Amino acid sequence: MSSAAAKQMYYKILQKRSVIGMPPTVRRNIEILGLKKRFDISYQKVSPSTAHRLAKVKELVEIELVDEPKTKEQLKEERRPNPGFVLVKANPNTQ
Amino acid sequence: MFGPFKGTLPTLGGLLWKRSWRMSKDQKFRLRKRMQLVDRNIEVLYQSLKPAGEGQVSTGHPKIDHLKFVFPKENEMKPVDKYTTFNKNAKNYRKAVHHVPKWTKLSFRENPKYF
Repeated sequence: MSSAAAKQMYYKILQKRSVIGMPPTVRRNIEILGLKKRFDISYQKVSPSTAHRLAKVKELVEIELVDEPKTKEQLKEERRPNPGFVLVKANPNTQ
Repeated sequence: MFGPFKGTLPTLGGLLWKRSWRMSKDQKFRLRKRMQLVDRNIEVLYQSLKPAGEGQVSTGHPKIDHLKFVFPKENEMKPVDKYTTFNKNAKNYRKAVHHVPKWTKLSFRENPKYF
């Protein structure tokens, strides 16, 4: 029994290196993992087949184990820069 | 010797080795960083499939176990193995890894048997 059986864990996969010049097997594995270009992030359920896929591309990606996958909106929100001000009170006329 | 007639190594001599025969210390540093990333990735893969029990146990997947227990780690390798790799055509059967095509996207850690 794997530890993933107790709780479904996810791989957070960050593509760090481009697939340019890589053989078709590597390109295909990256594509199936849901990655298209550098710094794409993909979440995949922990499973032996995904682990073996990741083992094939271990030089191109950075892998983390996480409890919950994040949505595209959450990832975008994390990248949003600091606006430099705090909204104390909203203008009622603009709402 | 300015402008279009500037003397450069190719125009003056013709023969130019664009890859030095040894790696610079910064190339070696970046190679070690990439190797450490691969080590971390292997550890994550092992932890994800490891049974719930304590200790260094098999995952039941020979390829993942091989990566975890047999595949050399960056901090266990000798410099000669980090920066050179087996090559059947090279003198003394060793070749600097930076002469191998796509060397920054590959691992060269396991030598042939009896090497």
